[in-house]
Amino acid sequence: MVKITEIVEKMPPMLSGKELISSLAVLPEYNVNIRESSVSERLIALSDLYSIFIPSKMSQEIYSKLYLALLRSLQKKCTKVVMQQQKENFKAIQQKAYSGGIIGGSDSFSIIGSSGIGKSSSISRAIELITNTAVIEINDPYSKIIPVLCVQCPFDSSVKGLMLEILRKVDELLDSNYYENALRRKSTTDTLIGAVSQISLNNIGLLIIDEIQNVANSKNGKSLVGSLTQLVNNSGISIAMVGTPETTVFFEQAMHLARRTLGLQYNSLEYGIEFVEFCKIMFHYQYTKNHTEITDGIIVWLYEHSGGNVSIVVSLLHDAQEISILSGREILDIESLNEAYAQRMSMLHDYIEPNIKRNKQTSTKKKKSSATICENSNDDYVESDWCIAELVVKSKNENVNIVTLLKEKVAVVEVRA
Amino acid sequence: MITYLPMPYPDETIYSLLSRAYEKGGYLSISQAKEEFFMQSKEKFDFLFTNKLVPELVNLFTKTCAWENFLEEHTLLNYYGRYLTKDKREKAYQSLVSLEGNYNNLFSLTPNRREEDEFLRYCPLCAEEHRNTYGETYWNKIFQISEIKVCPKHGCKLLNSSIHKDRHKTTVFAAAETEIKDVNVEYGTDKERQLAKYIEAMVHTPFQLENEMNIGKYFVSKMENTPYLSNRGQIINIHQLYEDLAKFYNDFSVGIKKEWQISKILHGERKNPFEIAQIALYLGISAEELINATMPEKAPEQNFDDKVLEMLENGTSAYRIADELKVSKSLIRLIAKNHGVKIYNNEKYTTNENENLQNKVEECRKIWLETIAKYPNSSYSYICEHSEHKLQLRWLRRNDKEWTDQHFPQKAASQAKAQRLSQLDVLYLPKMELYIEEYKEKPGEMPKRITMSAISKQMGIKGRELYEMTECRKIVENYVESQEEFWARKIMWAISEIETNNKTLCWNNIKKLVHMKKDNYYSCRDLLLKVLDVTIVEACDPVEKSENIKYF
Repeated sequence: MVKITEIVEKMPPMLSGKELISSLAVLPEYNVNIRESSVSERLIALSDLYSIFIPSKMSQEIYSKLYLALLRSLQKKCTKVVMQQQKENFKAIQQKAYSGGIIGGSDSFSIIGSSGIGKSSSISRAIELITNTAVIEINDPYSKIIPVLCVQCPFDSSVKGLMLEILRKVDELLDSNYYENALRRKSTTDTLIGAVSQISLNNIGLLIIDEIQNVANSKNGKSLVGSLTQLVNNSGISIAMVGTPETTVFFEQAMHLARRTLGLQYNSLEYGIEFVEFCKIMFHYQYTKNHTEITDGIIVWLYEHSGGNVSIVVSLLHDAQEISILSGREILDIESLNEAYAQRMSMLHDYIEPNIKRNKQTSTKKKKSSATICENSNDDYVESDWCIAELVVKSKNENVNIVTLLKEKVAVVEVRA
Repeated sequence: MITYLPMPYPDETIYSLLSRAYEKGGYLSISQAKEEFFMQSKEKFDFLFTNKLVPELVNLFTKTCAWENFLEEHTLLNYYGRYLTKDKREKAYQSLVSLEGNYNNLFSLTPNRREEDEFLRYCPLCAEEHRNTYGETYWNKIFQISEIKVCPKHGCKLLNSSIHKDRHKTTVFAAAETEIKDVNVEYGTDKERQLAKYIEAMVHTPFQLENEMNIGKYFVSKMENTPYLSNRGQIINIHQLYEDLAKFYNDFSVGIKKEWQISKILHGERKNPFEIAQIALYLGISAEELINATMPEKAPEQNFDDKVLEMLENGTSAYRIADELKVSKSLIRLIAKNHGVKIYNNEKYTTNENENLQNKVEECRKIWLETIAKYPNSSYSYICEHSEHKLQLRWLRRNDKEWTDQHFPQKAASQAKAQRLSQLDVLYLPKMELYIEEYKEKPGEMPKRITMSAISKQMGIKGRELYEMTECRKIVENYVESQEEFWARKIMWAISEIETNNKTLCWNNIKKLVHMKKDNYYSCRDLLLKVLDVTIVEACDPVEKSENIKYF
């Protein structure tokens, strides 16, 4: 039987603190001279923005969670019950009566967060750090272990579909023939679950199932979650389910479902140090001819127009620079940011509302143009010679909408109840 | 690609190891596993040695030990290869190392001619020990030897599983852990246990490939001073040995059953290890001694001769020596003569033996020549039967073989037969061309090979008469072609048929017409290249699936 130390040695050491942050971070090289290059060169270099990864508290937590889950899963492969479980899994493949769950579940947990907050990027960065190689080879018994296997939950929550997808991914990494044989043999779902349990027990450390919110949108959702439970119990591996907040609604339905999805939940960033630092780093990567320093106003504007969603911030900064370069303005400022927001993000306007709960609409949405902030890079507020009370009086007297009057004076963002 | 392979346990058969790999590997079907493990997925299982494994599997097995050591550990190579002759042993060994197959034949395994089926067997106590040590049990190679009845370690009787040890009846991977359920313990007899120890020693002790030990001669050397060997050690009393052995093993259903088995073993013609063990146990040779058997420096016969010579040198008379050693005086005289030692020192008794012998030879030679002249064209046995000088003729044949070989009577060939064949030769000669023409294929038909026997059948004459009809034979020999030439002609006919029917010129279509093996095609390919264009020949070449893999 393989020793725990032999497997653990194959994993890189667990990182923490500053070392972890520096390892997670991906900051492409930036040379200020790029601003002197041609338009096409700068536009090409601009795409570096998308490869930037700035570790957050979320990514550190995700790294730790995944590392420990993988470690626990690999440790389970060194226990004596493995043999008994293999025997039971074989019975399942043969469609004979079997007793499952000898090895027991290791871990199943969830990583839930809205789209675009950086879950998948954090997970892929974490996986890159956790795994030295795509496959770990051990002797006694000889086995090739995939440390982390990522699959997507099928759109229709089909159990067979998920099992086949796992087999296909295993074949891709291990150069085996499980998928082909499963298709050839037209295996039943139960047989597939048995086979996947066996293969997971032998060859997989941690299984990550992305887009798990598909279970909420499909009538097969419960059976898929049930099959995952069976898989966990019969293989002893850790399973991480990654998805959007829709998943929580589904898993809250029953205790046994809720228990399976204890884990990490994240929302968009609050306006705070983390967001400010993020913006400062991103803003540093400028490819326009004219350099702009970031101001609090810009940061506030970015927060209000992204809702704290980091992927939107990246998109805004990228598209603003792109528009600016192409139009010849060659400056990254509020105007180019506004332009990018108006032209490229129109479909997101209704979704970007930081810290405001969004209720269901009762009437047709009326598209409103976004409020614009007057450009004021010096962070000085314009002295006003009006007051709200006067405007209210004027509105009553002239029977004019107060919002219209306010718009003349300040930037107004309308919110429908 | 193999993703999971359990470690082999001590003495585990390769079939057992692969069965465990199949059950634990997540394979959805046996065919999937066979495709991963074997070069030919349709190959039947080999329970005693190994199937032809894929190179990847061999590489995994040899990660921690050499391939030859792995085979020694997990097949019955040591047991069945130990007593083969040196040439056969080397050939069988190389075949196993190279995974060429045909092991039952090469290792001279005795086929099971009993009516009862054989199954994979196990020791219930060993199974329990395995489960405690490893968490599971497995098929131990030693228990699959048909003749062994009990476990050499525990002495308990081996039990049959439900898996047939017949490659035609078992088509599944069956791991021992799944199959072994009955663990009733029943002990065997002392003899069974002792024999099991011999088998265990044979299985576990590696042999030397170059060892030329003749086990039969070894046993003979060990039978000195027993009732089974004559005093001088040249005659074996096989009958007595067989009877005593039969009494010793009277309740055995396997092993030595007939006298000829013992005879063949002692003469080096039979190598069944279990029967060898039976003889060894009966003769009181320990297992260790048997495994490490070496021929004594001198054969029993030589020891006897030395004893006689010693006694002669000490002045003991031939008569007394014969009496003491219970042999005939003429034997003593023969021994003395062979070693140039005088039996009588007193001149009074010394005779001019050589001169007498020479005179006798001369006289007998004369009789020989006269007798042969008297019976011309007759065989030696015929002459001896009918002549009054039978004794002289036979004495001369024993004592002057070289001369008699030169003057040996030759029986004349039958005159009548020679005459008849000559007449047939004359009769058939004008028609030979016609017969050949009738036999040959018609235009468009598949070519037929012209051979002596084919034309002979066409002519309606029997046996090998055509071979002895010299003139007719010469005509047929003009048309006889070698096997390769015939195959080339067949291929060319097939090519023309394919072109006529507007089919694609490829090996598959050729094979459908001529039913030829690829090896036969390759052996005549050079001839085709002399006649046909190289592009046509290349179009006919079979498409190979994978390169011919040589292991060592």
